[in-house]
Amino acid sequence: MNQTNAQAVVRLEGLSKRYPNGVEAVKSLSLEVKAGEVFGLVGPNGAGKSTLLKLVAGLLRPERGRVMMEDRDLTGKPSEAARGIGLMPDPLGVYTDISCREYLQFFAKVHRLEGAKLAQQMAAAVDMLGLGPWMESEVESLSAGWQRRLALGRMLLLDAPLLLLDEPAAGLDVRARAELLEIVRGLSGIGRTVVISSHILPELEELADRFGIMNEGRWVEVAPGRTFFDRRELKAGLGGSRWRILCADPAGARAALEGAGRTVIEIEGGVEFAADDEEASSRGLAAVVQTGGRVVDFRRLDTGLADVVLRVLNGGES
Amino acid sequence: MNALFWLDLRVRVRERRLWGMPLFFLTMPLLIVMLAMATSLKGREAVDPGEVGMMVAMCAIFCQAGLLVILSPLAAAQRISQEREQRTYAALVNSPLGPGAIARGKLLGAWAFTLWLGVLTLPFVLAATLWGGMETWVPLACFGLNLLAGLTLCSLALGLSGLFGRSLSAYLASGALLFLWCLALPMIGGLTLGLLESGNQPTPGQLRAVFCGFFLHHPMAPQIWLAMRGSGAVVTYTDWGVWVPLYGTVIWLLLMWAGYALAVRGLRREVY
Repeated sequence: MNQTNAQAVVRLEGLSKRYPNGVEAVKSLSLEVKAGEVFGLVGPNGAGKSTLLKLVAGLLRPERGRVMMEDRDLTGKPSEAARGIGLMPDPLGVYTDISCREYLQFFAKVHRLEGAKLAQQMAAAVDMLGLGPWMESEVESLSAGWQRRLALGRMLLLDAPLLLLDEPAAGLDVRARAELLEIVRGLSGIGRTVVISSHILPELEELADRFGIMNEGRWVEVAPGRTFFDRRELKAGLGGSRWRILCADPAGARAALEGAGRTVIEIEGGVEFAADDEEASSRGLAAVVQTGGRVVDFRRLDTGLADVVLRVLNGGES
Repeated sequence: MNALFWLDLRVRVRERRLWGMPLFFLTMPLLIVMLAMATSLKGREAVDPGEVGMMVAMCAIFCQAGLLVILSPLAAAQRISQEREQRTYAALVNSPLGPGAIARGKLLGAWAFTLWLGVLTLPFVLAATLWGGMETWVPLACFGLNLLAGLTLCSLALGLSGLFGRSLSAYLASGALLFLWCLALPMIGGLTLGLLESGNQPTPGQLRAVFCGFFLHHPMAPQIWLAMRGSGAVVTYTDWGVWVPLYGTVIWLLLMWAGYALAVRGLRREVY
């Protein structure tokens, strides 16, 4: 999804939050998240990610700064913010003594959803999340993955344009994680804006359009995913590492690599391609050299978001 | 109606241990009523049905009041702290329900539980009036006062629940409050009266001050006044005017408001 011209759904202006124990969890953070964007929030434990999400949802009141949504000031106003912002907190808490249907109906009632609209929204949410077979089951009997789906269902019912997901994949097995992230991808597909914080970086890098790396309550870097790796064009369907060849004839190099069965993107002054290991990358380099073009540089690039985050947090060193 | 009220009620009704409580609640008045009947009938050649009825009604009313006084704080003491413990609080706050609506839903949910228990004992009270000795409106009015006392206690316990992050702390604080209000204050009042009476005869003003300070706001004081007046019995303060139960209920209403305000204040706290 192209967000360059999209309007900002939420604007954070110089947010700062200090807890009663004196810890300043968020220090003068500003950010704009555009409509339809998936924004990945990453950083080490204690970086302030959860605090930032709670500030946006109004669950915490900042000492300084504002949370603006379509020119409405939602700072520290959870009831008002809830009409446009859905939060899936970490740790996740769901009422366990009731059925899934009752859980969703409770939140629908709280949001004054009734009649045909309720039936329509409920059917859409249940369908999207695959909750159908579990609707009459007690929430307590659901696995962690399905409980998270149910919590997502609560937010989908409300038609909130902005969804804040705090560690949505925490504690899930690989399969449940993949399914949940597929759902999040689907949310972006239906135009919801998603801010997602996660430690499971390989999945996040597949998902997010933009990343904000936080440390000690501040942005270390906020940049599009493309800055780190060309996710859409190169990473799709590829595994392994990414390699860059800077050469005199990028078009010739591209043709040679594509001829060798590699997926390639052309960059200024060279090409980037994916290869599983050093041997495969060397074969790629050999194919480019055989075209007769001059090779200026050949290097392995960041292998993923985890490397990028570590590099950025370490002040630029891998 | 507040959505939270229905959710709370639904959750309570499904709790398995909840079904043990009505059994206990029904057994206690039954035993006490039977004991009262046996006592009033023992050694009598000619039975005065009115006397039996009054005794049975009194026992049923105060058994009901006593159980509500004990159970109401139990029903409300963990309502907010449990939301924090179970981590459901953040999702609740991330909804259009404000702190006032959450507190009202929780309060009514807890009270509905005690109301249900109160209704279970109503047949005992009404059956007793069939013997005579007490007009039907008296036990009904006492029942209403019992429910109001239950609501006050629920509100106070809910307020304490809003203050504490843990259910256990909220329970302990509610128990301490209950002890202070229902036992410690009347005991101190009794000692004060004893001290006053050991010197000169206390003046009516002194007597009223002690009663107002220590006894008349007790969760059972207005009911005692009403039941005694309704049955023609006289103890120290029952020959005082109708201001006695009014004073008690006004204090209850003030305490109820304080509990509610405390709960709302607790709910306004940030979610960590």
